[in-house]
Amino acid sequence: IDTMEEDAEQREIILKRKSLLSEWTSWRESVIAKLEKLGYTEHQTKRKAEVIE
Amino acid sequence: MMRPIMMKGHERPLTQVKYNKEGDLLLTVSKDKEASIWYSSNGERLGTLEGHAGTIWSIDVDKDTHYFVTASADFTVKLWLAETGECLHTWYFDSPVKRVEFNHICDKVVIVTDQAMGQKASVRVLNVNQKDAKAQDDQAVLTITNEEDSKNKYSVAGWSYGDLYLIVGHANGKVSKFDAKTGELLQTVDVHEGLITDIQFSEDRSYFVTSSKDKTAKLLDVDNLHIFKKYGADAPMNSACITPVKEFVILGGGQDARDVTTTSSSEGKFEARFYHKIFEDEIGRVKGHFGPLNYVAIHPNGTSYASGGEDGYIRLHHFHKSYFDFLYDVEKTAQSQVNNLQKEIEA
Repeated sequence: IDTMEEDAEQREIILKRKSLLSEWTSWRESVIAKLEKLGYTEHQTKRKAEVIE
Repeated sequence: MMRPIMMKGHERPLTQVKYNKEGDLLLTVSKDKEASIWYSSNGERLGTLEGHAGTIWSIDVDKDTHYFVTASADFTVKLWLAETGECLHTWYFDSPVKRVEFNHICDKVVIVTDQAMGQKASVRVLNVNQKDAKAQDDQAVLTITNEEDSKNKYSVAGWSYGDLYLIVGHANGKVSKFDAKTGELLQTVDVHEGLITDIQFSEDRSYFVTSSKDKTAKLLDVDNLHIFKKYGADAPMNSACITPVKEFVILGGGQDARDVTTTSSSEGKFEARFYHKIFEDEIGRVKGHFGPLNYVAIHPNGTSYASGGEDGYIRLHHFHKSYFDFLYDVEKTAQSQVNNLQKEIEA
């Protein structure tokens, strides 16, 4: 039973994270589109991923 | 996780640390009246800015690293030539200046003056003449004065995207948005239950993180001042920043010395705390300072972070590959879906 409850809890957490992530992603997309429309994209610097090994 | 570089160059507590836009330099200011400029790659000190007669509360640099600007408890703001460290201009005020920040196009700075010496707190905008840096207009082009009681005084301020708005934090935990041209108050919201100690923006300046003495940090959007996220800590927070590349926020703070019964660093909670920006979970902590962290700053490329402590030390941490690899399962799934979609489009 404990494992099942744990599984259910885990499932809940994963679903919650999924919805938070998609909510965030769609909000960011709308903001980026808005800033582009307004011509304020110069804030966004083109970045080359630089990873220190 | 990362290799820290410990930089000892200040005699007194650090007040702010900041990278320039390129990220090759780290600027630090402290209560010892000097600003220091360091190479961020190895922590070697390049030079100092000398001339203030009191604590330097804040520093900023224009996007081309031509000029530094500093705000001080000696009632002045100074403009410096980055190349030589020469002071080009001094603006004089009637009370300590707590904060300074260039706007995006770097022809203006916003400053916050403290309520002291019978003066009301204010947010002011100064023009910065880049063509003739020694010929500056001494009068502010905009002054927003706190007409309410001292609890409402301004503590921090910064520019939104497009330099359209001034986002201002108050001592009573409120956040206000002003029109950056007219000074009109557009919105005020209750965000924290204590002093707002720091505001740092996302890369595109469409949202920002606030830190507070109420032991939390919060994420708000510029357009509606809507509180998106809350990060709970167990000590007063002095600073918070948003990491590029990774979806994290870094918080710094700790119990003030007068509130700590022992000097052990573990008692004061003197750690940099990493939270997942979207899920609000605390992911990890980085120990090291022997007193509260007064400021945290992230490299513009997200490759390192720096913290300035009450202990007078600056700690510079370059992230290891594992930091960049770390993802939640749901993030991995989302990323692979995007990758698959991109492959399909390319095919």
